[in-house]
Amino acid sequence: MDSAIARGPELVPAGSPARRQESRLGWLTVAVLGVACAAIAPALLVFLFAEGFVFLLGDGAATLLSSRWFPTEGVFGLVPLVVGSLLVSLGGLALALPLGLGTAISLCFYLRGGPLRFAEAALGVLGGVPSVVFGLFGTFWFVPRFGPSLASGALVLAAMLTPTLALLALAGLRQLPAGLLLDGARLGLSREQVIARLALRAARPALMGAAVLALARALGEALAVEMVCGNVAGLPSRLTDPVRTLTTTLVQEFEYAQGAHGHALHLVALTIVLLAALTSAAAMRLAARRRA
Amino acid sequence: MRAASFGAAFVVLAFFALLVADVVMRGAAELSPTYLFSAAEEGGRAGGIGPVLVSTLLVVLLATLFALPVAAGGALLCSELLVHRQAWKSLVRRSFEILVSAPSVAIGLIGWSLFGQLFGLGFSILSGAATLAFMLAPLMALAFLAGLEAVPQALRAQSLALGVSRWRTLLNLVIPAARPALVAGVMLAVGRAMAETAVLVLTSGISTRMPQDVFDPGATLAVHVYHLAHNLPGGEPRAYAAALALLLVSALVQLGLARLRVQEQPA
Repeated sequence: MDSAIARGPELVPAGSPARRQESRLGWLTVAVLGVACAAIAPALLVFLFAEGFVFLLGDGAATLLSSRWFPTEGVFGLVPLVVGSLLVSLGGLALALPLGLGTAISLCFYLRGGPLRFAEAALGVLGGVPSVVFGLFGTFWFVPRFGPSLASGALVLAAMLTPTLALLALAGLRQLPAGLLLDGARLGLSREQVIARLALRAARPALMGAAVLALARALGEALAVEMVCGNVAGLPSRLTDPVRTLTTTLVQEFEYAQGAHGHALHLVALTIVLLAALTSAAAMRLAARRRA
Repeated sequence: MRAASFGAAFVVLAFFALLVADVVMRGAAELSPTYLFSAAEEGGRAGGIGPVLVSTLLVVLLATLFALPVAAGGALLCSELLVHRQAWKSLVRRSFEILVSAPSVAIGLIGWSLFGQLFGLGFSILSGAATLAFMLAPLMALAFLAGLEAVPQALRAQSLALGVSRWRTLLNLVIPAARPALVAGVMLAVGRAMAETAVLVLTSGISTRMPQDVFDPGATLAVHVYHLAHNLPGGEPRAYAAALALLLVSALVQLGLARLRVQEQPA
């Protein structure tokens, strides 16, 4: 039975020649469109690599490790941008992680019935709120208090990440075998001990995977952060200092970037893509370890 | 543990109650039928969002139309043509996953250089839709693929055993069986397109004028919120109104998705 499926479309006996031609044309279309679809990602990556390579051949390449980003002077130091991206994203994650994890624990172990369903539905809806709405909210609520700054950026990202993080952590906790928790209870552990010593430890790969996935999303977010982070390229020394990230640089400069500056921006884009790809690859690895 | 976890859940839910209340209260003050359908003045600080809604519709519709056949091809390639070639299949799937998790602003920059500058489209609805399609195609392909793979192989085998060609099996049996998942994939893409800002700020622009054709620029609703709140002093009240409209539309899409999931379950 299986080999009949494996034989492929062109070998299947069919009725009239018209039908056969229809089928051949159909599969050809599928193959062409499918290959086109699969080729998008490699094509875009090649484009970014090529642009980045052109920049590396030029004069600007020597300034890449500078701590200043001044395109008009031909200084393209990526350091402040990478540091800005990492600080804002890690800050957002540091806030979102305890909140998301705590929410997941209370939903998994303490809430029942109506309140549980309500909280879960609310998280689902909130996870779908467009990120620009968080940026707008941050403009009104965080910027007046903390200024356009690292802190405001991290808060906006935390708001954006928490619902999804909570739902992913919840899914991870629910995948634990029920017997594990029962065994813990039978051994005389209190509920608190079962959660802290058994559940959180056993679900660690899933929880780490959720956190890393959130980090990848934070690194890639552009406009919600740009609305509140101040966008001054430099190394911030306080939480209330403005920062500029890789993504916000693209948004601010793409329109007037010429020559080396334009190539530099593609290198910035490549850096974000690689950072995000590295973090999501780490997330996938963690998920795979759980399955094994 | 109990107190701490309840504390966290309370903070999260209270924060979101605040967020929703804030957007609804400030937004509702401005939101009215006239606001929804009249032209924007002073870049959106006065007047309505009629042109923005038209641009949103055009961008989302075109992007979905561009991406749909490609995504269908990608999913069918994996589920039907490469069904017994695991290595190729996982390679193609990986290519979709990379693009889905890629930061959208990078895709936006590529769209700007490629369509905006190289093809000379500048800021235009066509450029925005084409770039957005890069993002939507793999997203839809993965959703379609999940639906197609959920159709049991035995069903296909039975049809083949009756002498029906693989092509006709696909059209008459597999695709109808996977239909709810396919519709859900399209809705997922529409939801993503509605929420997207980074790609579109770089490609279809922030103009609030009524687009005359697809070569004109036009801000979508999400982009309009960004532009009002961030670039226009005094635009914040209107930004809230636009944000409320955006929330309502995305809530509708989510409801539709939830409906489809319920439909899918009994099967």
